[in-house]
Amino acid sequence: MIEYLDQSLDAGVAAVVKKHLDSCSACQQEAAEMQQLLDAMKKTEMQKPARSLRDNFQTLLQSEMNMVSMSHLLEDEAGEKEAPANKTGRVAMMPRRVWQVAAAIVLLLGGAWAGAALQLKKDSQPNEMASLQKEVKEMKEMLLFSLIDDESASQRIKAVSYAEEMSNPDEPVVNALINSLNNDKNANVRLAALYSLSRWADRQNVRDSLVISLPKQTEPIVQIVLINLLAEKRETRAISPMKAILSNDKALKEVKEAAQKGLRVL
Amino acid sequence: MLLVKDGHLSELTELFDRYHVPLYNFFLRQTLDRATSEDLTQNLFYRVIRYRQTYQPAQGTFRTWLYRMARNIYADHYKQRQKEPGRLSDTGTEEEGPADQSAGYSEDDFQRLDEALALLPPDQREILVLSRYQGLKYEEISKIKDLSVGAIKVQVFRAIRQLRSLYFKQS
Repeated sequence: MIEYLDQSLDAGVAAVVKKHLDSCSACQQEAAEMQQLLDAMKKTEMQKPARSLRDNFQTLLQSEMNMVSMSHLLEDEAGEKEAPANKTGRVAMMPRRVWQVAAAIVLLLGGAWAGAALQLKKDSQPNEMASLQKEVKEMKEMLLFSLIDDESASQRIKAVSYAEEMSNPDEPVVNALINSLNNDKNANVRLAALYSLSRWADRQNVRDSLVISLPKQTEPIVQIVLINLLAEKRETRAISPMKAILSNDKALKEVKEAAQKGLRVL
Repeated sequence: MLLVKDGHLSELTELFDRYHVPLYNFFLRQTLDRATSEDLTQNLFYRVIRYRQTYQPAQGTFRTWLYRMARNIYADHYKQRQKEPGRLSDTGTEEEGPADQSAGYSEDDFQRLDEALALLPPDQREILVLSRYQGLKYEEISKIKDLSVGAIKVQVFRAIRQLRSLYFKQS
């Protein structure tokens, strides 16, 4: 019957059905009523979801892409440790460093972008999202605190990246991130923490901690990302630690260049 | 989707743009709740991102893979709802226009159709959403539900007959 109404039956079969319908008023009525329903269903237009759905998706996707980049960094780091430390090792590492710096900059931009997307969402859908956001936030906080002291560096990266997905983290979360930035023994965890913190760099306490953190950092990639961030935020208190880096003989060339560039901006 | 699997994650945006409205409506027809449907759609695409490596083109198209996941998500949601009853669904109205009124059906007709649809058992409602509202082919639905095409046809027929009796009983 449905296929008859959809006109997808073979002509021969359709003719048989039609013949019956012509002679049977009960079936005729049934067919007419079904036809009416089928048409109505076909003509029903789809509803559009709220715009925040797409924004949220973009944020999720962006953070997944960042995680992938981050795990590549981690694999590279592991690769370096396993590689035999011969005399050419140092030279061979340079391009990789450059690549890491590039990746870090991409991550940073991604963070800023995700921040903007989240902000937009918050403005446009205040009520609808509120309860969900709260739930998700609590879940992420729980995950963050359960993983942040984990043995494995990748678990700790995951922990600090959960914070990156929060739109408005509480004080304990921020403090945990600052602690990771300054004290974690793995550079990639420190970098991920910095990346998460960069989103709230306009908060006074975060900004203060970032300024204090700069002279403590020894890993070139973390130094460079931090210098760029502070320069971008026009943080004049960063001038003296940047000068200190410039006059430090042991500092890597790329770090000095970043500091120089940062100082020009400031 | 194969590109996505290979790490071209940004391609997912296109897939999202193509499929999120139908999938949102798939949930909306069944939950009758906008906020919930948006959550479920969000959840679905989060799974797409996370489980992109499990997509096997040999087992069907991306679309059938997506709907299979959507069904699982809705089933989970449904089970949870059963456990915590008492929450009335709020059918919040938004600025989006309702179904078009130009085609000989009044707003009231569509309203009554929605009401009749809501009275169907979940299985029957789902098969009509897939086959009629979403316009999936019987072959696709048979992949999604792991049933033969013949069985799907029978289900669609029964569902429409049931819908008809509900709809015309109202008036």
